Amino acid sequence: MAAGENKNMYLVFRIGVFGFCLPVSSLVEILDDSFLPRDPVDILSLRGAEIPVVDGRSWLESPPGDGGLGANALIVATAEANLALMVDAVDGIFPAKEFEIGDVPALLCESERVRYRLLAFWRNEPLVVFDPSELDSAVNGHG
Amino acid sequence: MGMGEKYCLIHCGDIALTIPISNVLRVEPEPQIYPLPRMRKSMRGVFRFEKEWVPVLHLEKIISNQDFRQDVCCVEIKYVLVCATELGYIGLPCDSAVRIVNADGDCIADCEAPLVPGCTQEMIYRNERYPILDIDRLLPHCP
Repeated sequence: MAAGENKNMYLVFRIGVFGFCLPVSSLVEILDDSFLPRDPVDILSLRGAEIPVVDGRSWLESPPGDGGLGANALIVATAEANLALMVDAVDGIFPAKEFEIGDVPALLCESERVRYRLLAFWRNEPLVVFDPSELDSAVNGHG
Repeated sequence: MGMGEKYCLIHCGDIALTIPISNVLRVEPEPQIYPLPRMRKSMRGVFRFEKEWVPVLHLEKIISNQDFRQDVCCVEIKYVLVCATELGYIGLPCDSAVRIVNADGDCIADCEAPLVPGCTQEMIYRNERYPILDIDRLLPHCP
């Protein structure tokens, strides 16, 4: 990939049955299970750095899969720090032109529980457009 | 609503309802419904309709009545009625063919025992009572 080519791209990932997309501008790194501890942890030690961990399934109240930790961790840059989000699968990184972004239906937004505001239409399915600032809320106990 | 108006009769599991056909924009056969994280309990998910995401109601979660048989809850959605509300489109699921009937004669009556939030009247068709759904009055009661 040429320098600057990734400016308008999205990472697509899964937590439970839900699909998400994240602008790659907020993505620092994708870690597979070879980098991850077997048991759930609150802090991930990575190359000398201590990174707070958010378990995507618990955070989103997603039905448990095999009961283990997610298969991948996304290191996401938020306003406050880098955070690790445990996810079940990563589909890949795709150009922004594949994503049709729109508002979450007002009838869903009425609920305080629905914190996301944008949905992407991608390959015939809805993806939640992931807002990294939500991760700060999760770590600080407001999620 | 009144005499001579056409109504859609729908069944969803053990729930039977009717809605004025003037409130129905489209009947979509077997749309793919996607769950979203942290949705309201009263929603099954969303489906794509005219470049929008339309929430689909989970009627069994809204109309909680011990008279409804849980073993016949609507598991296979054959049609979704797309209805316009003050807050946007909403989908009403049903698991059998939609029946269109005329409200003739004295088939409209006050609800004997209101089971559906926001319903005050019902249609009597072939000795079965169908609460007449007023979606805008129902939505504030949705959990």
